[in-house]
Amino acid sequence: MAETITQAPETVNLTIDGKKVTVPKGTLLITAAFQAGADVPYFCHHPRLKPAGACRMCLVRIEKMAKLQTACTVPVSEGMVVDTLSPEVKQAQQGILEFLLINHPLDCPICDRGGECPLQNMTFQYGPGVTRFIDEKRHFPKPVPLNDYVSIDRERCIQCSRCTRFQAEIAGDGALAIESRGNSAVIAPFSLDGFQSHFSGNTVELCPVGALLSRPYRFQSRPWEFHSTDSVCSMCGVGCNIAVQTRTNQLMRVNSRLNEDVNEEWTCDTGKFEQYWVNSEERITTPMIRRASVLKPCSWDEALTAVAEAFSSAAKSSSNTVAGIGSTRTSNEEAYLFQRIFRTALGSNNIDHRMHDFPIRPMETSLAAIGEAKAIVAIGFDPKQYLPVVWLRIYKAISNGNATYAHVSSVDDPAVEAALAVGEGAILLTDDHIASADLDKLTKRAKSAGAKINVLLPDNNSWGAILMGVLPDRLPSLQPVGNGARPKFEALWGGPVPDKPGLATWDILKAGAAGDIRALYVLGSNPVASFPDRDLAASALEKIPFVVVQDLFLSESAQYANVFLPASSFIEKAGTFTNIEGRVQPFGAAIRPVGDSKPDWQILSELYARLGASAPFFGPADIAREIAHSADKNTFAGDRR
Amino acid sequence: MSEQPQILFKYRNVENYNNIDVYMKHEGYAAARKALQMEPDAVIEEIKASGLRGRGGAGFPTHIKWNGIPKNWDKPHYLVINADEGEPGTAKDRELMNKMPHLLVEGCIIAARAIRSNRCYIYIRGEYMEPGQSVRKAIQEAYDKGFLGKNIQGSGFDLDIHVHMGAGSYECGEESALMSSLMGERGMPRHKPPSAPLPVISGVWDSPTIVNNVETVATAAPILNMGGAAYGKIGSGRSLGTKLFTVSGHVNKPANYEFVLGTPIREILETAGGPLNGKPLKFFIPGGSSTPLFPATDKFLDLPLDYETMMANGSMLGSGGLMFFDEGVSVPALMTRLMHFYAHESCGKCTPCREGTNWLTKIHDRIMAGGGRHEDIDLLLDICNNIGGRSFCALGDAAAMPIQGALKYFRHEYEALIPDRSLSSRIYAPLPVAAG
Ligand SMILES: Cc1cc2nc3c(=O)[nH]c(=O)nc-3n(C[C@H](O)[C@H](O)[C@H](O)COP(=O)(O)O)c2cc1C
Ligand code: SF4
Ligand code: SF4
Ligand code: SF4
Repeated sequence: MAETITQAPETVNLTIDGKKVTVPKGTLLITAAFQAGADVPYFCHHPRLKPAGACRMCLVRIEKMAKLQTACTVPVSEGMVVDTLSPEVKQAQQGILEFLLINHPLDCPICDRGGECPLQNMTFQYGPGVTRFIDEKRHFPKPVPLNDYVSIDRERCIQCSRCTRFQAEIAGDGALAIESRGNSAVIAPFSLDGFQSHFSGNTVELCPVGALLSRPYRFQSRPWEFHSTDSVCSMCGVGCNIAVQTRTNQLMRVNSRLNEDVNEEWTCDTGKFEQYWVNSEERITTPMIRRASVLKPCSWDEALTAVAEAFSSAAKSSSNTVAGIGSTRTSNEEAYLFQRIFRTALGSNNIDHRMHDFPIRPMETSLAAIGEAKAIVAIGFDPKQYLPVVWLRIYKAISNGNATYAHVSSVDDPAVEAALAVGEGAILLTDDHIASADLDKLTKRAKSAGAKINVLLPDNNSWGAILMGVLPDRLPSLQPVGNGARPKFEALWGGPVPDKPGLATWDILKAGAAGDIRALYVLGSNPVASFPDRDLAASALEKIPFVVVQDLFLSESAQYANVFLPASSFIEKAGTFTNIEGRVQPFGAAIRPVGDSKPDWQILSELYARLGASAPFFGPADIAREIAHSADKNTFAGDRR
Repeated sequence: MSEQPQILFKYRNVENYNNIDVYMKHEGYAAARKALQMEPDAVIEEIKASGLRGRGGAGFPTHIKWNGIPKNWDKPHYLVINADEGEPGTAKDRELMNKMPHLLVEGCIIAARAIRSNRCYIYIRGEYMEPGQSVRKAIQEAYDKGFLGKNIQGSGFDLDIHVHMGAGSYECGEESALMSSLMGERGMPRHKPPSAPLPVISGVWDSPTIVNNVETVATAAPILNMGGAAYGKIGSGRSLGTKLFTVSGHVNKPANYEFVLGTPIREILETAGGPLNGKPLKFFIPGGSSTPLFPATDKFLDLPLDYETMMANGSMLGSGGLMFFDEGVSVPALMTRLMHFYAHESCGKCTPCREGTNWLTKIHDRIMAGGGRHEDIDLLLDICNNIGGRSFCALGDAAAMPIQGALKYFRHEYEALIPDRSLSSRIYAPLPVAAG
């Protein structure tokens, strides 16, 4: 790599409340003030949004300037002397708060924001004690739904424009606008079809009052009542860091958590609002076993014993007659344990999770690097729909760095050529449906141009399933079953591991339909609905004498199950997921397993014991320790910026 | 009566002065030709010598603004003409555009030459249909005669002028909001120093931009014709030249007049025919509704009407909208009307103006309806203090200042509207009877 001479960043010295601070040139005064330990109140300021200067809450005195200035809009300059504490400043802040409150409904007791409301907090800290306003307040019908997820209480809105700026500057869709003016100004969707955005939920978190409200969460809980657990979103491959907030053993709300490398502080609407299935009444929470062609509730012992017997007797006749189809949604620990059971206790490599064949290729850049690209082309898929938070990085590159962007259907599109012409700094994105011939072609062109290719896998643990070895021809860390890594695993697992590649999903189903499979384990996946040839999947499951389905719901595939094992959702267990970048991220258990359900790892561990495992696993951490011990740390060492 | 040289209104009564041929017979486009032969900086020197200050309200020296345009950037420069004329009591730009649109077009050529701009936008308030058509016609005539377009009169200088009609918002006359509106954004003001560079560095489309009032730019042509120094001999101090004043209200001859800056207000009143029907005057507003009023006493009527004197006495020359009010006018009633205006025109961006104008309006409405309380008067002043100097743009100040003026001189009129709520009056007042 070429040596780069890094220049010391230019700095500015200033004095805030008598304290000297040195900050980089261009820093906003409010940021410098925080650095100096001054507590400047604000509503409209947000470090990721362009300065607005709208709420006027952060007025401070800058020496030699005629008026008070808003600290959130003024860049620091050399020798500036700033006062944030004088009676004049305090009086101005009180005045602004009084203005904000005169028309405010102050219905805190029934406001979702109450308890975590910046306006409420600022009022306690800086506000006047009594009101001088005796006239009629401003009224609007409330609340008004803006889309399926968000509604607005316009009486509570303080017109800080955080929401409109977020949509314009970060989401890049301008889906919210200010309508009308002055005292009648309201936040409204730009489109007549409502708040059309994949990112609307972020405005609920950004809103400094209870104006923008989550519809699923509305009136469900108070912020001081729930418990918040650090987690990772289970809805797509980005793996946004989230806080799962629960009460009475139920999911109340999902908020985002800060992770500069992954989601910054955002999530998409799916991540925020489409996780309530964990609370669903339709979840199956007791094990079931088929008797006289009907699935009937039974005990865990009965179910697991039936599974263990069916699989060990099938494997005893021939290890080719057992097979397992795993999932891209179970944790790393669970995926690992699944393949370990098949490879050791059942002696079979007939294990896979793929519903179609796709190129297994690590991303060549980080997610964050997409935000700094010079040219981006998405080939064959729309990132906004498919991996929405990746779109936020793309839009960052577009808006900050003037990157070019196109979303095209074919590798031969002229936009691809145009991006490649940019050379270094060009990033091509594809999904897992790209044909390998196309990818090879693209790889050659990208290599010679110095561009990067990122094949983006769809699910929250797509990479986990691959790297944990839920593949017929690969052990963990993508080690081929036939080569030198096998003895290491045999030593670790205390027994032989078959050295011939097993059957891939499509071959398992074909063999099943042909009557060659005697026992099939369907873990967290649903081939009857998601395998491209659904008829083949259905006839295979129909034909296979013993099918066990482990899931949360009675899926299409579960209709064919001889035994149904009720699994817990991701908020009921701990573990790790591996995101599209190969980043392993932990998530914690927020609630107890619902009903009699059990986490997948636990079900597998108990089954393993029945199949004669030497030492049981008592928790995901146990499994994780073994994974860490066995993993090849270089597997994911693509060209990582 | 002092002598009143007519500079902008010199040919006001010439028939068809809005026609380019007639205009050209009356010195028309001579100044533009002159400017095209001058170096841009020499044009600015003439303006400097004239002492011309902005006629849009703030009175900023025009040459300083023009000189602020970077001299050697390869970015386009823009000239934007503020023809939004929204200040209540002001209608001078309307007459300029209706009757003498070529003065504006010629002024644009001169200003564009001075700041080396090849593109000019005239932003005309939406309600000004007639002035809009008049200016469009004049622009077309100027194109036809080769005073606009490519290589004007063989000078090698190009200029295109576009007319942009506003959609009806007072705030869009504030120069930064005007720029937002011109670019198709919501009519909200933009950051100013110390938060952002001046428009002369980064205005419309992030390029150096000059925003000038119609009258300011129209004055450039006569200045070049008579010479900056000669123009600068008119008037006194830092208030040089003549200015258009819209005289309205209770006078016998309300109209636009051209006066030398510093003309005593009494003289202006007399020229406008004196008080309507001879009825005694109570007060007057010197420079458009945003400027604090003065009682119509000798002390104030004898003041010279110029930038400095108005400032020193707690008001402003503003846009030159001089409004006289006789004894029949209630100050609180007028202020109520004005507050409705400002509350309606507030863009809503910042808290003090959006909420403050609304609150001022509600209190005024209540006082007028007989629901006033004694503490309301100090509350009004306090609200004004909390708006003044704290709003994002000057509209907030513009709403607060008139109240401060009104309460300074006519507090008693507010007090008179406040019902006596002493104990006895409360006990013996008839109880309200429910209807039905
Ligand atoms: C609320 C508000 C409204 C304004 N309206 C106008 C207007 O209608 N016309 C105008 O020329 N200037 C108006 N101004 C003043 C402009 O902001 C700006 O000072 C002027 O266009 C500068 O031109 P000048 O230097 O030629 O005076 C307004 C200012 C404010 C704060
Ligand atoms: S937004 Fe805040 S201050 Fe307003 S009602 Fe809700 S909790 Fe109370
Ligand atoms: S809805 Fe909330 S975020 Fe949007 S402007 Fe109003 S207060 Fe601000
Ligand atoms: S003072 Fe504030 S609300 Fe009023 S017009 Fe200016 S920016 Fe808008």
